[in-house]
Amino acid sequence: MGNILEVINLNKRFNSFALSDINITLPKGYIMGFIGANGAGKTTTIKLIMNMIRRDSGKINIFGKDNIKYEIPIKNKIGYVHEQPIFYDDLTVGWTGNFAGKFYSDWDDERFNELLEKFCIKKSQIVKQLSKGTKMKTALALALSHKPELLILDEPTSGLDPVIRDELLDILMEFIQNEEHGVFFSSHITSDIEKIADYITLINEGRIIFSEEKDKILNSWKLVKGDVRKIEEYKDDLMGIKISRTGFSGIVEDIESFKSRHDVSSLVIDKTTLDDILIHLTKKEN
Amino acid sequence: MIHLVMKDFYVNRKYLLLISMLVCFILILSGPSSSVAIFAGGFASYSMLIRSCFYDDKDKGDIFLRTLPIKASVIVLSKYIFLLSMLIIVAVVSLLFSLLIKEDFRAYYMSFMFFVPIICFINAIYLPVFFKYGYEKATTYQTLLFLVMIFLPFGFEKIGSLMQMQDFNFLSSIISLITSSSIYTTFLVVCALSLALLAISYKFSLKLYLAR
Repeated sequence: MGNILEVINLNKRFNSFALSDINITLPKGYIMGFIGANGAGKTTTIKLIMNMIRRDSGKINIFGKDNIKYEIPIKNKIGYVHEQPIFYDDLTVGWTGNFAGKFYSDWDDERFNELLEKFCIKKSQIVKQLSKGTKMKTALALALSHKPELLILDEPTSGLDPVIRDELLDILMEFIQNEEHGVFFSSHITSDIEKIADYITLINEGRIIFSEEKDKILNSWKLVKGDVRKIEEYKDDLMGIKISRTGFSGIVEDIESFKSRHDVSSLVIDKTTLDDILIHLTKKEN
Repeated sequence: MIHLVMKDFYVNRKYLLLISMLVCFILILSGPSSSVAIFAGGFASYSMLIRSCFYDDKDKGDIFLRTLPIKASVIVLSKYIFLLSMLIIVAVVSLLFSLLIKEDFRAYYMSFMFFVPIICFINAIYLPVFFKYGYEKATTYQTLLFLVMIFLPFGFEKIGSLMQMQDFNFLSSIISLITSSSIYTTFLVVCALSLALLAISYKFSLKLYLAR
């Protein structure tokens, strides 16, 4: 099975921030969760994938083709949803769909109407009068009405209530039933990612920390806690060490290897969640 | 392309109505004159373009457009086509107005040749700034452009008086070329120069837009 998205050694520098050597591979038929704190570089990476800003170096292949050289045919097959769905505020949902549909070769008006009906959105509603959740659903309807093969979602669940978030995740699960499809989904709400993603990519300060299968991460990465007086013994093998008055905690990438090198009888070894990983690997100590 | 231009007309439809009423009001106040019609219409074209840039910026329409399968060059070019469409509408309506009031054609042509290049010039400078920095940052610049627009006629007056006092061979030769050529030749030259100016501006805008 080929890759639907490949980002190879991608670099982009701004005055105060840089993306460095970003490498991401998403095979067809899978959902990738792209996590990281605010300002880590998620949106910049997505903008580069969508060719909305110019890369300094590196390569981005979507459907096996360069995203700049084949920008138009590629965008024709991508459904994009932004954190704050962006349309012309004073226009109606129907006008927006009609306008967007003119640019897609496979735009399906019936599908758009069906989705609006499913989401209880009227075509006559003016965009600025929609709630954030309804705007998000409208954006999803637009993104799904031209038979896309890749969905790119930039923080789509942030600011939404749990019910709408759950609905959105269901839609993504339905979309991925077709094994030719793929979803690239950025969020800092790790519980959403944990629910549906097959692959996880963590970005911090413009660098990829890891990009792996979710199950592999959650099975092999462990949270280790212990007495602060013994930290010297373990600190070289722990990542993202947090120290408090009562003890320390850190992440271990390969627990078996860690156990073979240390006496772990005095440690507490817990399962990790994506939240633990995100907090330990990206949060700066005061 | 056509959809993008139509979108600019559509998002500005209320403003277009308002500004058309304003142009009519100015014509009523000043009395029937194609010069006033072209001046007010040209100004309306300029403000419509600025307004469409404002809408794109306010609603982050640019981001929306960049997610659609549209080439960046088409997005940039559509603003120029929108401006030209507005100017053509103004020119045609003013011509019809001139015919209606049975005015001397020379007044229409002279007004056209004066105001259309000015509008093209101002927008040719404004649009690259907009495509580089967006509407908000271009606002200060836009204010300066307004000042230039207001004081430009006085500047011409000053240049004219200077030319009388001194020997400006270059400018004199241009003026004499214009006055000695037939009005139709001058009309075509002015149109061609205005289009060339916009074409150069488009190249700059595209380069700046792609480099963002």
